[in-house]
Amino acid sequence: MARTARLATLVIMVLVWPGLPSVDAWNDERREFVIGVISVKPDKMLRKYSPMANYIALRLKKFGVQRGTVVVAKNIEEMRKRVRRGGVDLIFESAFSTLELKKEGMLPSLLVWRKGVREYRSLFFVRKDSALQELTDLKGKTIVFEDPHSTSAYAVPKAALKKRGLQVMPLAEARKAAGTVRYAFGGEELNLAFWVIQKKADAGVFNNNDWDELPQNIKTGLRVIHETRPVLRYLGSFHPAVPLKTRQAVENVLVNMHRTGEGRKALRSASRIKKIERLTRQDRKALDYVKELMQFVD
Amino acid sequence: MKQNINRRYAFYLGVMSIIVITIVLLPFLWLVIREGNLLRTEIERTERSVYEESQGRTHFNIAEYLSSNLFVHAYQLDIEGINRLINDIKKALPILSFVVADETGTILTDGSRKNELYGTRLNIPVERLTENTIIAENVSVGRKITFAIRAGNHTAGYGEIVFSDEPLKSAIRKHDAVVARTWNEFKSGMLRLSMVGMLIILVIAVCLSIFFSRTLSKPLLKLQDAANRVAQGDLEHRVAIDSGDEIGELAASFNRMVSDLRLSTVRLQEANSKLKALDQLKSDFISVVSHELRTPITSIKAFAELILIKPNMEADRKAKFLSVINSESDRLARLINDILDLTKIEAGKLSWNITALSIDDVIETSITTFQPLADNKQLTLTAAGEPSLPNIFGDRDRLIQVVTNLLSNAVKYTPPGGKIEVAMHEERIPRHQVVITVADTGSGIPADYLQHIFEKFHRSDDFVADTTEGTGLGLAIARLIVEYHGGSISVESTVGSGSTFTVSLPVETALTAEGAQQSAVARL
Repeated sequence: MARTARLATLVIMVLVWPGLPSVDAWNDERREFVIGVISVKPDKMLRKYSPMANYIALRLKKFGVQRGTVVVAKNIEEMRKRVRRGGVDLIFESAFSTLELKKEGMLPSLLVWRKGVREYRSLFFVRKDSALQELTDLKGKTIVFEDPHSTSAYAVPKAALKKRGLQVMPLAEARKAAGTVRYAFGGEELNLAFWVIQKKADAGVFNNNDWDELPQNIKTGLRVIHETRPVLRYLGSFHPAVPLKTRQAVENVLVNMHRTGEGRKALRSASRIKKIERLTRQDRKALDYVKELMQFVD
Repeated sequence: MKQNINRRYAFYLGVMSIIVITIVLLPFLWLVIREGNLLRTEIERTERSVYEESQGRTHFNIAEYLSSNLFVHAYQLDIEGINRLINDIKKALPILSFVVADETGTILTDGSRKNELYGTRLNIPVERLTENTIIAENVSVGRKITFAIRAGNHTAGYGEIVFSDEPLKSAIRKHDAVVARTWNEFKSGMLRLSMVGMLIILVIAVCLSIFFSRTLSKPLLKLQDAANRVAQGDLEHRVAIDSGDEIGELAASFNRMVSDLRLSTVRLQEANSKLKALDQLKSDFISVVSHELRTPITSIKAFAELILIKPNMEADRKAKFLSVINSESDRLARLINDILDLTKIEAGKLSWNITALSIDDVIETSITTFQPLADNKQLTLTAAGEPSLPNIFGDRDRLIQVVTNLLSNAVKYTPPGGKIEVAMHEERIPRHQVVITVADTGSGIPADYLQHIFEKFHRSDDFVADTTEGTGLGLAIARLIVEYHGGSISVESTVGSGSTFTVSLPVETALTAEGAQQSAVARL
């Protein structure tokens, strides 16, 4: 029986060998479970996600894990390299980044209620007294995005604009090309609203949660002209080198974290996560919309 | 006495100490506390101004820092960046409110999520906000600082911060509490020190009072003891205090007083003895005079009664009785005259007729008087003497009385056939005087009587038994007269051989009645 099991395992390994990005991604010397995130503020993210890493590691002792660590990549490219090196076991990222990393073999399997929400939509807004009524009216206008790494306030809306056939260009480049939608980065959500309301930009975009959090006196000066389809808020993807049993064990730990006080505390610390769920078939279908939009992203 | 003085001095020094403490220490304490309070107020005011100045500098520095650091955010309309800065500053500093406005003065954000002040305008005196300038003004809850968010000539907006004055107040309160605590401790210390000082002064005062009172009371007690002993009659006791101060002078005065008292007492005792003796003499004199007067009167009365009872008695017998009466009457008359003379002399009431006189004349007159009597008794009365004796000053009649008295006694006590010799001579040593001697060959005078012979009525009964004619006052009167003249009278006698009376009278003695009287009284 044991002999048969070992033989079956060997056969499977031989079969999946070419697809593995690294042979030593999860070997006997690994004694830590690594969570990866993308951010330009590594210190902040390390503080946020370390409790979760520790929480997981503590419950993976029977798998030889002695500690949990967090790695922060400054962008998708760096994370991609880490994935290839096998230096990360579980990555929490947005839908766009998740789909990008999926190309490296990462296996999306968890849906994360980041900042308490399961999904969001991008809202295009203008000043209340603006004449702009729909996305196509933005032609020749200036829109403010959050930053190049944002999903709901850059990638999704930019893709949505392009999907409408609009040409979208950075502000500096667009000055020379008439009829394009010029864009600039405002940095943070609130700035976008202020840029619009202070007439520094004609329109802005961020997700519906950020809209909800806008101060009322600001919000009253703005008007939404378009909403995109829902996009899953945050996803968790396992490195393919993580053994199935380990992955299942980690999934079990994560989907039950919100049931314990310590787990809730660790989740709250990590970007105010309300809970973590396994991806449903419907969720995976929802990712198709994102995949569609990705065609319009540079 | 001792306790009273001790208590009194303790009380005096205690009162003096309290007065000194009241006059010196309490005003000193008052002054220290007053100056301390002024100093405390000054310290608090200075510290407050230092705090305020420090706070003002801090506010200026913060405004400067924010002005430059907010510029990029304001210029880029980075509200989130502004909010972060506001909230970071709020976390670090006691800021009640912090708003950032755009270049028109309209508030962009107050740093909160709700941003309720958005869109309201600040009342900013733009012209006053030049570069590196802030406007600071006090508001009810603290201090408001307004500053321009500026880079070069470009103003991206304005900032307005209201700093809470609670930290300043708290710091001042803490500092004031420290100053107050320190001051109170100092004050308590001063009061404790003063109390201890007062206690020490009082203790010293009491000790000094006991010391001084003992110093003072000790000699006073000695004086008291001495006074008691003197009062009990110990006039030999003296106080041995030689302090040289008033107490020493008092002791010396006391000693002098006791010495004087002792001397006076001795004198009084002597005078008393003399008075007693005189009184005794007087009593004796009166007794003798009474006796002497009664004797002739008794005889006169008895013989007169006999004659009256028997009027027809024989003529011879009757004549004999009358002769006795006559003789006793003469005796009585002499006695009375002698007493009168003696009394007058002793009382200084005798009139003296002082003149220059010849002593020869006195002797001659006296002998002439007694020559017949001497002859009758078959006595030899002779006079001998140096010729040309100097005159003396005196009462001639009284001196004749002296000589005749001596001659009378000589005649009286010299038996028939005897000799009486009156002699006189001049002496110059030890003084210039005339000496008269009356010597007889009579029965002589017993030695025990001899020493009293010049006293009044001193006569030996045996010796005078058969000589009732004498009054017993003749020699006493003679002594007084001689002594009045500054002379002396003495007697030498041998029983069975006779007696010699010597009278010495000074030459050139000017006597006056008044001087004579004083002299006589003094001699008495």
